[in-house]
Amino acid sequence: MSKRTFLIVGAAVLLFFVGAGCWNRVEIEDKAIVAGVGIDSDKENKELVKLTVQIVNPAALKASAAEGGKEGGGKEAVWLVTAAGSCVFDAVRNFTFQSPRKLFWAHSKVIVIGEEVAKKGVEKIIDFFMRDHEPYFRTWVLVARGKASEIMEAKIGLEKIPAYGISDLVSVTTATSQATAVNLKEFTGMILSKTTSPFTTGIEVFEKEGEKRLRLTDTAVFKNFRLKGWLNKEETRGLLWILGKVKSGIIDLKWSAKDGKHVSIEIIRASSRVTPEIKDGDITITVDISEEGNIGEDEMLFADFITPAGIKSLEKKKTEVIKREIKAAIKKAQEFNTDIFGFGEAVYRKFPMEWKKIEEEWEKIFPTLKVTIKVTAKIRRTGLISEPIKPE
Amino acid sequence: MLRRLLRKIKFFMQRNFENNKPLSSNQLKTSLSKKLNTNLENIKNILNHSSDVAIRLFDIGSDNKSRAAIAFIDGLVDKSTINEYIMKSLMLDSRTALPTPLTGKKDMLGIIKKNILTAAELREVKTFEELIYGMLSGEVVLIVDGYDTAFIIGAKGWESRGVQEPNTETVVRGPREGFTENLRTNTAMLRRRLKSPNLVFEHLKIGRVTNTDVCIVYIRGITNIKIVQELRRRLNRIDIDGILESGYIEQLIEDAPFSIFPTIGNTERPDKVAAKLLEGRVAVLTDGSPMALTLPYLFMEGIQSSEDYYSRTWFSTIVRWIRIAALIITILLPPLYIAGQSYHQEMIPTVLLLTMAAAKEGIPFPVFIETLLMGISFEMLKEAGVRMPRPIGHAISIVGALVLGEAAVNAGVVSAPAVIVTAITGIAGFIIPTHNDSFPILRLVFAILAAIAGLFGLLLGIVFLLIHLVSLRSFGIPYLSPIAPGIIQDLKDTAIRAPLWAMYKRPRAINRKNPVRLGADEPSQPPEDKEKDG
Repeated sequence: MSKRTFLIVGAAVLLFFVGAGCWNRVEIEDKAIVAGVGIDSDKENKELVKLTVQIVNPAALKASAAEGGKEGGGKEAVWLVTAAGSCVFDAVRNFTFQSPRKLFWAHSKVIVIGEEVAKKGVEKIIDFFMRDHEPYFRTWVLVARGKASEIMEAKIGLEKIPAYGISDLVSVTTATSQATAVNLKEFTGMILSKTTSPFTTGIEVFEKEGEKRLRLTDTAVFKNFRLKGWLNKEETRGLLWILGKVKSGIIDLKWSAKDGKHVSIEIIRASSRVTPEIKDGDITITVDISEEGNIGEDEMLFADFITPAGIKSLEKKKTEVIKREIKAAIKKAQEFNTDIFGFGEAVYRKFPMEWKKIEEEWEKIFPTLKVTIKVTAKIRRTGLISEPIKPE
Repeated sequence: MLRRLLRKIKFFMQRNFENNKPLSSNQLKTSLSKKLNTNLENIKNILNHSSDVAIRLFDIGSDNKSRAAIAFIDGLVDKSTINEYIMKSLMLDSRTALPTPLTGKKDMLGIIKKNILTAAELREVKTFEELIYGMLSGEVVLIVDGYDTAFIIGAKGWESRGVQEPNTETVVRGPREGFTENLRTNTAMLRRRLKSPNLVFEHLKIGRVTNTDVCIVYIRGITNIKIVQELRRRLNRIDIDGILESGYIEQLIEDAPFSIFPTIGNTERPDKVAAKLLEGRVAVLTDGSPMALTLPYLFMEGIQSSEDYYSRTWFSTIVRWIRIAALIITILLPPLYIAGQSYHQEMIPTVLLLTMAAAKEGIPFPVFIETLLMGISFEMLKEAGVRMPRPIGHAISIVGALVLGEAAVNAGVVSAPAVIVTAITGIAGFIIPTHNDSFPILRLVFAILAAIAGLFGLLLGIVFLLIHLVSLRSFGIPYLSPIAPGIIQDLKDTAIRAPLWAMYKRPRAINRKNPVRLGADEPSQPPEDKEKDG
């Protein structure tokens, strides 16, 4: 190594040490890991934003791990802190008055928006979470029925950290497909579209055995940043059918109204296709749903189903149920005048030239939009046994 | 008082210097005289009357009128050979030997050489230089009165370690033989594996005082002769008083003495050397050391083991992957841990982060200091384990494991993940023994970089490391070949170990001439089923 290169390398290394410094080194023990956040408006001053955060308390996790929950039971796994501010960012910084460690948002998994705030509009809230580098786009967005702070205070069995429990609740909605799972990125994506209305899951607190518990509930529908109304379970699945987001779930066919016996079909796979058409200036939308399922439960004590004709009758019944769900969803959406299905986008993609004329009038077109529903439902397998269990 | 002491010390110093002049070369260059006594005196003087010089005078011939003497260094010769094939022949058989019994002074030397001495190795010398070096190498000198020519008779035989299984490179499948400290034994072990006239042992003497025998080994026709020439040039350039181990030679001839990576390989296994010779490499054997040097040495050889070729392809390939994973883990795990904990908490999966945070709660040190502490303790433990006598070694490992593992965590001095990281790192480091001495250095440097600038610093360090690695060469061969420069054909023996039948050419990086080592490029198959046609 010549003297020159030695000097250059030496200078570079020195610069590296001095220049980089320790500018954002914050050790893990100096960070307050936020698990989830609830957003309300302040009680006294309605203009203020009030945040309720769940901060993970690692010491509690440690004690419970080491001593079999002996000491850990005494300590709460999460620390609830609230702070108010003129905007979200202000409130976030105001936490430093209370928290000895700086809030760390990268592992925050849920944003729960209070009903009141949602009705007032979410535009102020979303900006911070999209703009700041710490929160993840994959954070679930939920709307509380009631106050978000109550959601943050409630507990979930099995999960030490309730916010992570909520996150898990949202991820398993595919089991029923009767609640939606919308993360920050998807939510923002829907806001960005001029005609599509955003929707997301609702969550509510209920009391059981003197304990406040949480459950997912109807789907919140927004219009122009504001909460417009709620879709119930059936309507929610109708929405998911159209969006092609039904992954699994149970279709309950009430076979005979008299004795209330059921045949349940498990959805194996489903897909949808939305095709808009313009005829003489009239727009019609065709929704094609194809679904496949297995027989999951059969309470009927006769073996008629396990014949081609029986399967056919089941398929027919199932088609009706699916159609009913979709119709319910469309009806509710048209009532709200919220295009949660993205029909406007579909028209735009297929007829970009015509869309320019329609776009401004979409508000008027959508409530009376004609939607044709075509459902192809199939039954593929009957489970491990073919005939119902009964004495021969 | 002090002055008196100083004077005394001076006096002793002067006395010590009295007889401390080295032998002048003139003294050695002189020829033998015809008088036996003069010659023997000379030998004694040159060897400084050392106590291990043995001289035996005796009479030969039927008339007992000729005097002769043998001289040798006690301990370097095989006494039974001397008794049986030298002394007995000269003193008894010479009287009756046919066709010409040894009588009078009629060309006695010729008769001794042709008729009497039954030793296999024999040569004539005329100067003291050859005579003395012969003796020092363990040969026996025979001088007959009246002749200025001496016989050097080969009767080497000294105490040495037998052929044992090498401790450093044990295998499950494969030969158990390892090199010994004896050069001849080692060359014999190679010759036994490569029975070819093309196997060349080139002899050199290096070391002004030690006169160590060094052997260049290569296979004519397979080796790139330029590498041999370069090696010869570098070896001849060495001017040192002593070579005590092949490591001396390695350090004196290597390409990049400042690099932390070795550019010359070493091994204790003759089968490994034979395999490397067959690939076209050159080996250097050093007397007094069981470690053979092989060159050129490439980075990839670190993850190759002789057993890879003895086991079947699939297993060998998996083992290669494990070694590569270990290589990455042992260098990068501690820095990644530091970077993740100090800078990039968002990149750690949530549950893992919570576990880490829980473990870190109440630990007094930042993660870098913590990891450094554990790393240094581990290196100390390793060093202590090597240097300590074997029985104490166990005690150390128990204390080390208890203190490092249990107590430190329980006392809350270090966190459990740091102990796990250090343990995995240490174990992974042992998987690739050839590079193991460069790992702790890399680990330390990367850990510092990660502590200063997170993943950014770590990445910068890796880039510098790669720049350094690609700039290295071993005897003209790029160190990272066959990866950089890419030689597609040679990749068959890197991350995968292709089936032997598919490796029908020698590595192109080393050897471009005479590349074919295998006849057919296809696996063995059962013969075609004849009945199917008929």
